[in-house]
Amino acid sequence: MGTGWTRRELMRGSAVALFAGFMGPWGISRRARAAERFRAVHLSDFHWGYRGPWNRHPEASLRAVLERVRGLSPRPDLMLVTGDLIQATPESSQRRERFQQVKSLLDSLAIPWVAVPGEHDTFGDGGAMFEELIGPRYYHRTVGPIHIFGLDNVSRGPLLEPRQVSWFRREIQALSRDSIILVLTHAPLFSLFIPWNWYTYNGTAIYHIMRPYAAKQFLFGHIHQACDREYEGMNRSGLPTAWPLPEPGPLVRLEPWPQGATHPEMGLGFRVLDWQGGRFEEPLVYLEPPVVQEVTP
Amino acid sequence: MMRSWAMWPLLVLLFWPLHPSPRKPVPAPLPPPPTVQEGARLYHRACLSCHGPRGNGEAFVLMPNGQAAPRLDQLQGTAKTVPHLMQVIGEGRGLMPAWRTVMTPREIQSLALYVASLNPASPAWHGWAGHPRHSTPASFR
Repeated sequence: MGTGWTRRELMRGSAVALFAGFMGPWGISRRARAAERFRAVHLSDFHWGYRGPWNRHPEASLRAVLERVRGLSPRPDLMLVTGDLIQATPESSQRRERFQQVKSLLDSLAIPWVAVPGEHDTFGDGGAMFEELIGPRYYHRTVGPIHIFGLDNVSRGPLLEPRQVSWFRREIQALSRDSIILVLTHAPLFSLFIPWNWYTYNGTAIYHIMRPYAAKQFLFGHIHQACDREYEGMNRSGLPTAWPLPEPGPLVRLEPWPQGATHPEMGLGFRVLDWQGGRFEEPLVYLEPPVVQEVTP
Repeated sequence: MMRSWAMWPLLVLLFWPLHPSPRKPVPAPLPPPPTVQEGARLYHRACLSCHGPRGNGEAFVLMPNGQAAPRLDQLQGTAKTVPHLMQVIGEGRGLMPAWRTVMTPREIQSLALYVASLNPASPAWHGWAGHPRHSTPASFR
Protein backbone atom coordinates (compact mmCIF):
# COMPACT_ATOMS: atom_id res chain seq x y z
CA MET A 1 0.00 0.00 0.00
CA GLY A 2 1.24 3.42 -0.69
CA THR A 3 4.20 3.61 -3.02
CA GLY A 4 6.58 3.55 -0.09
CA TRP A 5 8.13 0.26 -1.24
CA THR A 6 11.43 1.27 -2.75
CA ARG A 7 13.31 -1.13 -4.98
CA ARG A 8 15.87 -1.76 -2.25
CA GLU A 9 13.17 -2.53 0.30
CA LEU A 10 11.40 -4.75 -2.15
CA MET A 11 14.61 -6.69 -2.75
CA ARG A 12 15.23 -6.93 0.96
CA GLY A 13 11.70 -8.18 1.47
CA SER A 14 12.11 -10.74 -1.32
CA ALA A 15 15.34 -11.96 0.20
CA VAL A 16 13.64 -12.41 3.57
CA ALA A 17 10.77 -14.26 1.90
CA LEU A 18 13.13 -16.55 -0.04
CA PHE A 19 15.13 -17.25 3.09
CA ALA A 20 11.92 -17.93 4.96
CA GLY A 21 10.77 -20.27 2.22
CA PHE A 22 13.84 -22.46 2.67
CA MET A 23 13.47 -22.63 6.43
CA GLY A 24 10.31 -24.68 6.62
CA PRO A 25 6.58 -24.12 6.76
CA TRP A 26 5.86 -20.40 6.97
CA GLY A 27 9.42 -19.69 7.15
CA ILE A 28 11.26 -19.94 10.27
CA SER A 29 11.88 -22.27 13.13
CA ARG A 30 10.99 -21.18 16.62
CA ARG A 31 14.63 -20.58 17.55
CA ALA A 32 15.33 -18.62 14.42
CA ARG A 33 12.17 -16.63 15.04
CA ALA A 34 13.36 -15.64 18.49
CA ALA A 35 16.50 -14.23 16.90
CA GLU A 36 14.54 -12.18 14.39
CA ARG A 37 14.02 -8.49 14.66
CA PHE A 38 11.23 -6.44 13.20
CA ARG A 39 10.28 -2.88 13.94
CA ALA A 40 7.00 -1.23 13.06
CA VAL A 41 5.49 2.10 13.97
CA HIS A 42 1.81 2.38 14.78
CA LEU A 43 0.27 5.70 13.72
CA SER A 44 -3.35 6.74 13.89
CA ASP A 45 -6.03 9.39 13.50
CA PHE A 46 -4.39 12.18 11.49
CA HIS A 47 -7.71 13.89 10.59
CA TRP A 48 -5.85 15.74 7.85
CA GLY A 49 -7.88 18.75 6.76
CA TYR A 50 -9.60 19.37 10.09
CA ARG A 51 -10.13 23.03 10.94
CA GLY A 52 -11.20 23.96 14.46
CA PRO A 53 -10.31 24.30 18.12
CA TRP A 54 -9.40 20.68 18.82
CA ASN A 55 -6.18 21.11 16.90
CA ARG A 56 -5.45 24.37 15.19
CA HIS A 57 -2.61 22.85 13.16
CA PRO A 58 -3.24 19.14 12.61
CA GLU A 59 -0.92 19.13 9.61
CA ALA A 60 1.93 20.47 11.73
CA SER A 61 1.27 17.82 14.37
CA LEU A 62 1.44 15.02 11.82
CA ARG A 63 4.62 16.42 10.35
CA ALA A 64 6.17 16.61 13.83
CA VAL A 65 5.26 12.99 14.50
CA LEU A 66 6.64 11.83 11.17
CA GLU A 67 9.89 13.67 11.83
CA ARG A 68 10.22 11.71 15.06
CA VAL A 69 9.58 8.50 13.14
CA ARG A 70 12.18 9.47 10.56
CA GLY A 71 14.73 9.89 13.33
CA LEU A 72 14.18 6.46 14.88
CA SER A 73 17.12 4.14 15.08
CA PRO A 74 16.95 1.40 14.03
CA ARG A 75 14.77 2.52 11.21
CA PRO A 76 11.25 0.98 11.17
CA ASP A 77 10.56 -1.76 8.64
CA LEU A 78 6.94 -0.74 8.35
CA MET A 79 4.38 1.88 9.34
CA LEU A 80 0.87 0.78 10.35
CA VAL A 81 -1.88 3.39 10.15
CA THR A 82 -5.17 2.58 11.90
CA GLY A 83 -7.53 4.92 10.14
CA ASP A 84 -8.95 8.42 9.98
CA LEU A 85 -6.17 9.61 7.74
CA ILE A 86 -8.37 12.53 6.74
CA GLN A 87 -11.18 14.56 8.25
CA ALA A 88 -14.52 13.64 6.65
CA THR A 89 -15.76 15.94 3.93
CA PRO A 90 -18.77 15.67 1.63
CA GLU A 91 -16.79 17.26 -1.22
CA SER A 92 -15.19 14.53 -3.28
CA SER A 93 -12.54 16.84 -4.76
CA GLN A 94 -11.54 17.93 -1.27
CA ARG A 95 -11.47 14.32 -0.12
CA ARG A 96 -9.19 13.38 -2.99
CA GLU A 97 -6.86 16.28 -2.25
CA ARG A 98 -6.63 15.31 1.43
CA PHE A 99 -5.88 11.67 0.67
CA GLN A 100 -3.22 12.64 -1.85
CA GLN A 101 -1.53 14.99 0.60
CA VAL A 102 -1.43 12.37 3.36
CA LYS A 103 -0.21 9.71 0.98
CA SER A 104 2.54 11.94 -0.32
CA LEU A 105 3.64 12.76 3.23
CA LEU A 106 3.78 9.10 4.27
CA ASP A 107 5.56 8.13 1.07
CA SER A 108 8.18 10.79 1.71
CA LEU A 109 9.56 8.72 4.61
CA ALA A 110 10.46 5.91 2.21
CA ILE A 111 9.24 3.36 4.75
CA PRO A 112 6.62 0.85 3.54
CA TRP A 113 3.20 1.50 5.07
CA VAL A 114 -0.24 0.00 5.24
CA ALA A 115 -3.49 1.55 6.42
CA VAL A 116 -7.04 0.62 7.30
CA PRO A 117 -9.94 3.02 6.80
CA GLY A 118 -11.58 5.01 9.57
CA GLU A 119 -15.14 6.30 9.42
CA HIS A 120 -13.85 9.71 8.31
CA ASP A 121 -12.02 8.09 5.38
CA THR A 122 -15.13 6.29 4.16
CA PHE A 123 -17.65 9.06 4.76
CA GLY A 124 -19.57 10.02 1.65
CA ASP A 125 -18.52 7.18 -0.64
CA GLY A 126 -18.31 4.03 1.50
CA GLY A 127 -14.54 3.89 1.11
CA ALA A 128 -14.33 4.02 -2.70
CA MET A 129 -11.74 6.77 -2.76
CA PHE A 130 -9.75 5.16 0.03
CA GLU A 131 -9.55 2.03 -2.11
CA GLU A 132 -8.57 4.03 -5.16
CA LEU A 133 -5.82 6.10 -3.55
CA ILE A 134 -4.66 4.27 -0.43
CA GLY A 135 -5.39 0.57 -0.88
CA PRO A 136 -7.98 -2.15 -0.26
CA ARG A 137 -10.32 -1.88 2.72
CA TYR A 138 -9.19 -5.27 3.97
CA TYR A 139 -6.13 -7.30 3.09
CA HIS A 140 -3.38 -9.69 4.16
CA ARG A 141 0.30 -8.70 3.87
CA THR A 142 3.37 -10.56 4.95
CA VAL A 143 6.32 -8.44 6.00
CA GLY A 144 9.35 -10.29 7.32
CA PRO A 145 8.06 -12.77 9.90
CA ILE A 146 4.78 -10.92 10.52
CA HIS A 147 1.37 -11.53 8.96
CA ILE A 148 -0.58 -8.31 8.88
CA PHE A 149 -4.33 -8.32 8.42
CA GLY A 150 -6.09 -5.04 7.81
CA LEU A 151 -9.85 -5.09 8.38
CA ASP A 152 -12.59 -2.56 7.73
CA ASN A 153 -15.00 -2.21 10.66
CA VAL A 154 -16.34 1.23 9.86
CA SER A 155 -17.41 1.72 6.25
CA ARG A 156 -20.66 -0.28 6.54
CA GLY A 157 -21.38 0.80 10.11
CA PRO A 158 -19.69 -0.37 13.32
CA LEU A 159 -19.48 -3.91 12.01
CA LEU A 160 -17.63 -6.38 9.79
CA GLU A 161 -19.49 -7.54 6.71
CA PRO A 162 -20.03 -11.32 6.77
CA ARG A 163 -18.13 -11.58 3.46
CA GLN A 164 -15.10 -10.01 5.10
CA VAL A 165 -15.32 -12.34 8.10
CA SER A 166 -15.46 -15.37 5.77
CA TRP A 167 -12.44 -14.11 3.86
CA PHE A 168 -10.55 -13.58 7.12
CA ARG A 169 -11.39 -17.10 8.30
CA ARG A 170 -10.07 -18.63 5.07
CA GLU A 171 -6.86 -16.61 5.18
CA ILE A 172 -6.16 -17.34 8.85
CA GLN A 173 -6.87 -21.04 8.58
CA ALA A 174 -4.25 -21.30 5.84
CA LEU A 175 -1.55 -20.17 8.30
CA SER A 176 0.38 -22.37 10.68
CA ARG A 177 -0.56 -22.11 14.35
CA ASP A 178 2.77 -20.51 15.28
CA SER A 179 2.38 -17.59 12.87
CA ILE A 180 2.86 -14.09 14.20
CA ILE A 181 -0.27 -12.13 13.39
CA LEU A 182 -1.16 -8.47 13.70
CA VAL A 183 -4.77 -7.46 13.10
CA LEU A 184 -5.38 -3.80 12.30
CA THR A 185 -8.77 -2.14 12.62
CA HIS A 186 -9.90 1.40 13.17
CA ALA A 187 -12.44 0.84 15.96
CA PRO A 188 -11.61 -1.69 18.67
CA LEU A 189 -12.94 -5.18 18.00
CA PHE A 190 -14.02 -5.55 21.62
CA SER A 191 -16.64 -3.43 23.37
CA LEU A 192 -14.53 -0.73 24.94
CA PHE A 193 -17.36 1.80 25.31
CA ILE A 194 -20.49 1.30 23.25
CA PRO A 195 -22.13 4.70 23.93
CA TRP A 196 -19.26 6.37 22.09
CA ASN A 197 -19.15 3.76 19.31
CA TRP A 198 -15.88 2.36 20.64
CA TYR A 199 -16.72 -1.20 19.64
CA THR A 200 -17.44 -3.55 16.74
CA TYR A 201 -20.91 -5.10 16.71
CA ASN A 202 -19.68 -8.53 15.60
CA GLY A 203 -16.02 -8.24 16.58
CA THR A 204 -16.18 -11.47 18.57
CA ALA A 205 -16.21 -13.38 15.26
CA ILE A 206 -12.61 -12.29 14.68
CA TYR A 207 -11.49 -13.25 18.18
CA HIS A 208 -13.12 -16.63 17.76
CA ILE A 209 -11.25 -17.28 14.51
CA MET A 210 -7.98 -16.18 16.10
CA ARG A 211 -8.27 -18.37 19.20
CA PRO A 212 -5.89 -21.15 18.07
CA TYR A 213 -3.11 -18.65 17.40
CA ALA A 214 -0.91 -17.60 20.28
CA ALA A 215 1.36 -14.97 18.73
CA LYS A 216 -1.22 -12.31 17.93
CA GLN A 217 -2.03 -8.75 18.62
CA PHE A 218 -4.93 -6.45 17.77
CA LEU A 219 -4.10 -2.85 16.95
CA PHE A 220 -6.71 -0.14 16.64
CA GLY A 221 -7.16 3.63 16.63
CA HIS A 222 -10.34 5.69 16.91
CA ILE A 223 -10.19 6.41 20.64
CA HIS A 224 -7.38 9.00 20.42
CA GLN A 225 -5.52 7.84 23.52
CA ALA A 226 -3.36 5.00 24.78
CA CYS A 227 -5.16 1.83 25.78
CA ASP A 228 -3.79 -1.66 26.40
CA ARG A 229 -6.46 -4.26 27.01
CA GLU A 230 -6.05 -8.02 27.41
CA TYR A 231 -9.08 -9.55 25.72
CA GLU A 232 -8.61 -12.71 23.64
CA GLY A 233 -5.04 -11.51 23.18
CA MET A 234 -3.51 -8.09 23.57
CA ASN A 235 -5.45 -5.16 22.12
CA ARG A 236 -3.52 -1.91 21.82
CA SER A 237 -4.53 1.48 20.53
CA GLY A 238 -2.30 3.85 18.62
CA LEU A 239 -1.84 7.43 19.72
CA PRO A 240 -3.52 10.11 17.62
CA THR A 241 -1.65 12.81 15.81
CA ALA A 242 -4.74 15.05 15.67
CA TRP A 243 -6.18 15.53 19.18
CA PRO A 244 -6.64 13.54 22.38
CA LEU A 245 -10.01 12.38 23.68
CA PRO A 246 -11.14 11.90 27.29
CA GLU A 247 -11.38 8.56 29.01
CA PRO A 248 -14.72 6.80 28.70
CA GLY A 249 -16.92 6.94 31.74
CA PRO A 250 -19.66 9.44 32.38
CA LEU A 251 -22.51 9.22 29.91
CA VAL A 252 -21.98 12.52 28.19
CA ARG A 253 -21.56 13.39 24.56
CA LEU A 254 -18.06 12.66 23.36
CA GLU A 255 -16.20 15.95 22.99
CA PRO A 256 -12.48 16.46 22.51
CA TRP A 257 -10.61 18.88 24.70
CA PRO A 258 -9.96 22.23 23.11
CA GLN A 259 -6.32 22.51 22.25
CA GLY A 260 -4.39 24.52 24.82
CA ALA A 261 -2.17 27.28 23.53
CA THR A 262 0.66 26.30 25.85
CA HIS A 263 0.56 22.54 25.21
CA PRO A 264 -0.53 22.08 21.59
CA GLU A 265 0.94 18.61 21.25
CA MET A 266 -0.26 17.09 24.50
CA GLY A 267 -1.36 13.47 24.11
CA LEU A 268 -0.19 13.18 20.50
CA GLY A 269 2.40 10.71 19.30
CA PHE A 270 2.85 7.15 18.09
CA ARG A 271 3.69 3.65 19.24
CA VAL A 272 6.75 1.59 18.34
CA LEU A 273 6.41 -2.17 17.94
CA ASP A 274 9.68 -4.05 18.30
CA TRP A 275 9.56 -7.77 17.63
CA GLN A 276 12.60 -9.10 19.39
CA GLY A 277 13.44 -12.30 21.20
CA GLY A 278 10.11 -13.81 20.20
CA ARG A 279 7.95 -11.06 21.71
CA PHE A 280 6.80 -7.52 21.13
CA GLU A 281 8.07 -4.50 23.01
CA GLU A 282 5.78 -1.56 22.40
CA PRO A 283 6.84 1.74 23.89
CA LEU A 284 4.73 4.85 23.39
CA VAL A 285 6.39 7.98 22.03
CA TYR A 286 4.58 11.19 22.93
CA LEU A 287 5.25 14.57 21.44
CA GLU A 288 4.09 15.68 24.86
CA PRO A 289 2.68 13.28 27.47
CA PRO A 290 -0.99 13.70 28.37
CA VAL A 291 -2.14 15.02 31.71
CA VAL A 292 -4.60 12.18 32.07
CA GLN A 293 -2.66 8.98 31.83
CA GLU A 294 -3.53 5.87 29.83
CA VAL A 295 -7.02 4.42 29.83
CA THR A 296 -7.45 1.51 32.19
CA PRO A 297 -10.94 0.25 31.36
CA MET B 1 -45.64 -78.58 23.66
CA MET B 2 -49.19 -77.42 23.32
CA ARG B 3 -48.80 -75.20 26.36
CA SER B 4 -45.72 -73.37 24.94
CA TRP B 5 -47.63 -72.51 21.75
CA ALA B 6 -50.38 -71.00 23.88
CA MET B 7 -47.84 -68.73 25.54
CA TRP B 8 -46.97 -66.86 22.33
CA PRO B 9 -50.12 -64.73 22.01
CA LEU B 10 -49.79 -63.86 25.65
CA LEU B 11 -46.20 -62.72 25.22
CA VAL B 12 -47.07 -60.67 22.15
CA LEU B 13 -49.87 -58.93 24.01
CA LEU B 14 -47.59 -58.31 26.95
CA PHE B 15 -44.78 -56.68 24.94
CA TRP B 16 -46.83 -55.00 22.21
CA PRO B 17 -46.80 -51.59 23.90
CA LEU B 18 -42.97 -51.63 23.71
CA HIS B 19 -43.00 -52.22 19.97
CA PRO B 20 -41.60 -49.16 18.24
CA SER B 21 -44.41 -47.43 16.47
CA PRO B 22 -43.73 -45.41 13.32
CA ARG B 23 -42.60 -41.96 14.49
CA LYS B 24 -44.72 -38.98 13.72
CA PRO B 25 -42.62 -36.14 12.31
CA VAL B 26 -41.86 -33.70 15.11
CA PRO B 27 -42.38 -30.14 13.94
CA ALA B 28 -39.33 -27.93 14.33
CA PRO B 29 -39.75 -25.67 17.33
CA LEU B 30 -40.84 -22.18 16.38
CA PRO B 31 -38.20 -19.56 17.12
CA PRO B 32 -39.09 -17.38 20.08
CA PRO B 33 -41.17 -14.43 18.94
CA PRO B 34 -39.60 -11.01 18.76
CA THR B 35 -40.00 -8.94 21.90
CA VAL B 36 -39.68 -5.34 22.94
CA GLN B 37 -37.24 -6.48 25.63
CA GLU B 38 -34.90 -8.01 23.07
CA GLY B 39 -35.33 -4.86 21.00
CA ALA B 40 -34.25 -2.72 23.94
CA ARG B 41 -31.13 -4.82 24.40
CA LEU B 42 -30.28 -4.52 20.71
CA TYR B 43 -31.02 -0.80 20.74
CA HIS B 44 -28.47 -0.35 23.50
CA ARG B 45 -25.84 -2.14 21.45
CA ALA B 46 -26.54 -0.89 17.96
CA CYS B 47 -28.45 2.43 18.09
CA LEU B 48 -28.01 4.25 21.39
CA SER B 49 -24.74 6.00 20.60
CA CYS B 50 -26.13 7.83 17.56
CA HIS B 51 -29.85 8.17 18.38
CA GLY B 52 -29.47 8.76 22.13
CA PRO B 53 -30.52 6.60 25.08
CA ARG B 54 -34.13 7.73 24.82
CA GLY B 55 -34.20 7.89 21.05
CA ASN B 56 -34.79 11.62 21.24
CA GLY B 57 -31.73 12.55 19.21
CA GLU B 58 -29.56 13.40 22.23
CA ALA B 59 -26.70 11.42 20.78
CA PHE B 60 -23.49 10.55 22.57
CA VAL B 61 -21.51 10.79 19.35
CA LEU B 62 -21.99 12.86 16.25
CA MET B 63 -21.62 11.51 12.76
CA PRO B 64 -18.41 12.28 10.83
CA ASN B 65 -20.15 15.25 9.19
CA GLY B 66 -20.80 16.75 12.63
CA GLN B 67 -24.54 16.10 12.55
CA ALA B 68 -26.63 14.07 14.98
CA ALA B 69 -28.71 11.11 13.86
CA PRO B 70 -32.47 11.80 13.69
CA ARG B 71 -34.70 11.38 16.73
CA LEU B 72 -36.87 8.29 16.79
CA ASP B 73 -39.52 9.28 19.30
CA GLN B 74 -41.58 11.58 17.10
CA LEU B 75 -42.11 9.48 14.00
CA GLN B 76 -45.23 10.23 12.03
CA GLY B 77 -47.70 8.12 10.06
CA THR B 78 -46.34 4.98 8.43
CA ALA B 79 -42.81 5.87 9.57
CA LYS B 80 -43.60 4.44 12.99
CA THR B 81 -45.17 1.21 11.79
CA VAL B 82 -43.24 -1.95 12.51
CA PRO B 83 -42.99 -3.17 8.88
CA HIS B 84 -41.63 0.22 7.79
CA LEU B 85 -39.16 0.34 10.68
CA MET B 86 -38.01 -3.17 9.84
CA GLN B 87 -37.38 -2.08 6.30
CA VAL B 88 -35.30 0.93 7.37
CA ILE B 89 -33.35 -0.95 10.04
CA GLY B 90 -32.65 -3.88 7.75
CA GLU B 91 -31.70 -1.98 4.63
CA GLY B 92 -30.15 1.10 6.25
CA ARG B 93 -30.69 4.69 5.29
CA GLY B 94 -28.27 7.58 4.86
CA LEU B 95 -25.36 6.93 7.22
CA MET B 96 -27.22 4.20 9.08
CA PRO B 97 -25.90 0.75 8.22
CA ALA B 98 -27.97 -2.12 6.82
CA TRP B 99 -28.28 -4.11 10.03
CA ARG B 100 -29.57 -7.18 8.22
CA THR B 101 -25.94 -8.04 7.45
CA VAL B 102 -25.38 -8.89 11.13
CA MET B 103 -28.88 -9.23 12.66
CA THR B 104 -31.44 -11.95 12.12
CA PRO B 105 -34.92 -11.05 10.82
CA ARG B 106 -36.30 -11.77 14.29
CA GLU B 107 -33.81 -9.39 15.89
CA ILE B 108 -34.76 -6.71 13.39
CA GLN B 109 -38.42 -7.23 14.26
CA SER B 110 -37.60 -6.91 17.96
CA LEU B 111 -35.70 -3.73 17.32
CA ALA B 112 -38.54 -2.32 15.22
CA LEU B 113 -40.98 -3.14 18.03
CA TYR B 114 -38.81 -1.27 20.51
CA VAL B 115 -38.39 1.79 18.28
CA ALA B 116 -42.14 1.82 17.61
CA SER B 117 -42.71 1.74 21.37
CA LEU B 118 -40.71 4.96 21.77
CA ASN B 119 -43.56 6.72 19.98
CA PRO B 120 -46.47 7.13 22.39
CA ALA B 121 -49.18 6.90 19.76
CA SER B 122 -47.61 4.17 17.72
CA PRO B 123 -50.28 1.93 16.20
CA ALA B 124 -50.86 -1.48 17.69
CA TRP B 125 -49.06 -4.20 15.82
CA HIS B 126 -50.56 -7.62 15.38
CA GLY B 127 -47.89 -9.25 13.31
CA TRP B 128 -47.72 -12.33 15.52
CA ALA B 129 -51.47 -12.82 15.84
CA GLY B 130 -51.49 -14.89 12.67
CA HIS B 131 -48.63 -16.44 10.81
CA PRO B 132 -45.45 -14.50 11.48
CA ARG B 133 -44.61 -14.28 7.81
CA HIS B 134 -47.77 -12.40 7.02
CA SER B 135 -46.39 -9.17 8.32
CA THR B 136 -42.75 -9.62 7.43
CA PRO B 137 -41.58 -7.24 4.71
CA ALA B 138 -40.76 -9.05 1.50
CA SER B 139 -37.04 -8.37 1.74
CA PHE B 140 -36.77 -10.41 4.95
CA ARG B 141 -38.59 -13.51 3.78
